[in-house]
Amino acid sequence: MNLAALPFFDLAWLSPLLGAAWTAAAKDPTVARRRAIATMSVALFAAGCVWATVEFGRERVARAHLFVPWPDQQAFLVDSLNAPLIAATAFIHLFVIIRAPRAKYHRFSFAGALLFETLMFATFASVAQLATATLTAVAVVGPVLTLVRERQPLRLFLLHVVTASFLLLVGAVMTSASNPWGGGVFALGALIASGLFPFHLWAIDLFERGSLGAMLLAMAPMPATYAICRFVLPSATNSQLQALQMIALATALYAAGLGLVQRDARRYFGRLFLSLQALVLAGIFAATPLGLGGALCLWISSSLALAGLGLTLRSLELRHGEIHLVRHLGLFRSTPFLASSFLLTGLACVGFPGTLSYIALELVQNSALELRGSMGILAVAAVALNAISILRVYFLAFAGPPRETPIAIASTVRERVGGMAFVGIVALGGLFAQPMVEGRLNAAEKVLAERAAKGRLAEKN
Amino acid sequence: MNERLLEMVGSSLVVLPFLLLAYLAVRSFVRRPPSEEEVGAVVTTTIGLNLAAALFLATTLPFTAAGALYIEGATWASIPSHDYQFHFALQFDLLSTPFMAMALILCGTIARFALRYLHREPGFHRFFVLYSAFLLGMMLTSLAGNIETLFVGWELVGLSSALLVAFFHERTAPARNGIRVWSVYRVADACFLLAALLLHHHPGAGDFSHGAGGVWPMGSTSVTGWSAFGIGLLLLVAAAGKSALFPFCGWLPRAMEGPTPSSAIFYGALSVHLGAFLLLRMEPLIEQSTLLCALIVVVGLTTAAFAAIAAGVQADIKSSLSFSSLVQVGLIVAEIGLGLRTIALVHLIGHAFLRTLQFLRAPTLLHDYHLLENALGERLPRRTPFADRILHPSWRTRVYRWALERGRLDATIDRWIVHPFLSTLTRLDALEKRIVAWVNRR
Repeated sequence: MNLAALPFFDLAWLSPLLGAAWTAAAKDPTVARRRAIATMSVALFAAGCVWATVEFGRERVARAHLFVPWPDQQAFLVDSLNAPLIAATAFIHLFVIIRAPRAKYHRFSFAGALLFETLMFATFASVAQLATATLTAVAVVGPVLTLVRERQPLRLFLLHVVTASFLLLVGAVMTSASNPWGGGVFALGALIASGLFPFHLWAIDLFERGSLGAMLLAMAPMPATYAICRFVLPSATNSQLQALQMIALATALYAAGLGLVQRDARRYFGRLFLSLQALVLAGIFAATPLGLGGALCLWISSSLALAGLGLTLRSLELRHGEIHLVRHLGLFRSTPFLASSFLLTGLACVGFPGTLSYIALELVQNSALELRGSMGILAVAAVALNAISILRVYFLAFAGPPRETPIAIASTVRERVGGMAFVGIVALGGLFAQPMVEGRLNAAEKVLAERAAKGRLAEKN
Repeated sequence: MNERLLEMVGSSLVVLPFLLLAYLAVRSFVRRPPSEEEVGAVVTTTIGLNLAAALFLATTLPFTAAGALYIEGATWASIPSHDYQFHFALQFDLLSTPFMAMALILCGTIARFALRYLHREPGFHRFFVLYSAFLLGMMLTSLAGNIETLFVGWELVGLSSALLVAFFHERTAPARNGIRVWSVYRVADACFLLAALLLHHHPGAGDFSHGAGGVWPMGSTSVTGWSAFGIGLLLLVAAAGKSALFPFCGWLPRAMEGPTPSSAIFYGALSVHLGAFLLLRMEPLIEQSTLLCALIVVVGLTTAAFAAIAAGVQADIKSSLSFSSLVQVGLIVAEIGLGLRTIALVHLIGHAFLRTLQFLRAPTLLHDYHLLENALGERLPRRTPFADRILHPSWRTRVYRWALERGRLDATIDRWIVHPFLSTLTRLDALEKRIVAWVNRR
């Protein structure tokens, strides 16, 4: 049977879109949450089927069969590069909603989360530069609305994302007009959107001030990295990639180092996120099959691990308010499950053996060492510093004299289900890493083949 | 002998601890922890089966043609088109088999001890989850047939050790010491990882059966010259961090914050010897560089001398024992540097057993002294300390203070490395906050 003929991709992006209308019709937030979970489960199933179609199908791609609200119907395509990203995004969305705290039901827009899921699917599925740029610019609306609702200052965030979106759009338009500067303008926009040094301040600020759940939906799948991998990597020259890799390695080390001195758990999480994203980018800029394959693997694993860690952090904040890392908080006795969950997802972030990130990080570090010699040590140092900081935060949060609380604050069933899902997926993915590594390597080889073809074309011209 | 049977028995030495870890960890994680009796039964059974397997292999292998066994385990990740493979491999030779048997005997002893010692402790299950992670790490490290397998075991041992140092985490001191131990381990692990990645560039060098080790104590390596020195130096730092060699000695007494069983097993007997084991395993590479060998001897002897002075003035039994342990570890490392492989191995095993016994008796030391004095019918004789006999009184105080402050090693590292590093980062963080506040007009 031709799997590509089945409309899984249509189901994946249409179900959250239609589900958003269904959810918005619900007056009771509990009903809205249930509808959102049902819809997102369908989307996750469909996204999983799309991935299977790409991996095992004859055509190795999946397209939309129905009408797509975009002038160019070929602008959306699921291939080996983006299929697992869409599935990971669906997974993160589903479990963020499952673990949504009851106290925040009335403030959280479930319909908005579904619309955002559609937008993220479309962003990852877009293979046309203009479509990706437009969708990335539109996706900014999600965090902006959250910050406005939380009455947080917007200036820094807007300054960066408006600049990034503008550059992405202008770069895409210039590229379509065959302007030689288009690629550079687009790349600069993507770098700002991905928070590489020195354009990283907005990301830390966003994690510090925004709603953590909404930020995880927007940031954990690393959408800006997609624009870089899909469009910047194939067209950049070797010397440009070398410079970009150095910037990425420096960002990874810088963010990991600053993670050691954070006094606020949210800011720490932001640093960890930036460091991991920079390591993913360092692997992408290596532009070798092993380096890029490792980076694509790390992308999936760190997205999932970061989402699991972020949700655990959110659960802790619900119980104890802001988590200040200045003294030991002694939360272990009251929330042992969250302690285990925090430790395991944290270790998965830093590539502890047995987790999916381990092999991925080894490939990224190996490629950095091979290509850049002594500068590759930066990658190893960044990973080591991240590992130190994750245990530091763990001990600060969970060790110390136990806190006495007048009410029961043990983990709830939905927290346990969500925690187990993330821990299970990073652990099982780590133990049975071969299919993921193989799939990511295939995707890497296709991207590099495209890069080689573009290089030949440029030489001819 | 059927080679398939040998391979199955050999693999079980890693598979059984893995199953033990998975069982205890999953049950604890889903909040359905087994009863103490059940924990005792599964731990004892696992260790018993492993000991039987070890005994079988120890008695069988000498009669096989090769005298050693190499098991190609599961492939974790493989990319044949790019000549990349990450696979588990186990090796049973004259180094790994005695070391593994020693680890099993000591782990078994400690397990039985801990079952009573931690009876009804709130952290009983947590201890045994970490214990099983440590056991698996030890099995992987001691039996590793390649550098990747060794590194996985090494990491497991490091994590479980750091978490056990902070076992009593209702107090803040163990947590602080746990993060200190973890930090030293991470520096050591980063060096180990770099060495492993560099070994990948030398075909077969990371494979102990073909490259860097050979069938111990024989062996050859494809790495020579300055490459050997560079990789060997990274391995020496890794070993120094793990074995608390000079100048990383500071974490060892801090590690004594953990419960007695973990102090005994990890820092007194097993974990502290892993650095020496690594050097023994990589001996063919190390001996390619005379300069490196000399450096190892210097590090070993410096550690031994420093620890001998520090051990004499420690005010608590566990710290005193830990420094005494370090004296012997330093000597073992010096022996490795001198090329005395077999002596170093025998020294290591003998010392591990002795030190475990001493650590386990440490909580009842006063009781033991009373028994001895009652048997003798008089007080135990007090000898004049060696330093009192050879040092001038004015020097005695200075040396005493220096030793009591453990050579101010931690303070020196903090002052010259840790504090400048952290204060620079703190300033950068503050600068970023000011920029953000300025842009946001807050």
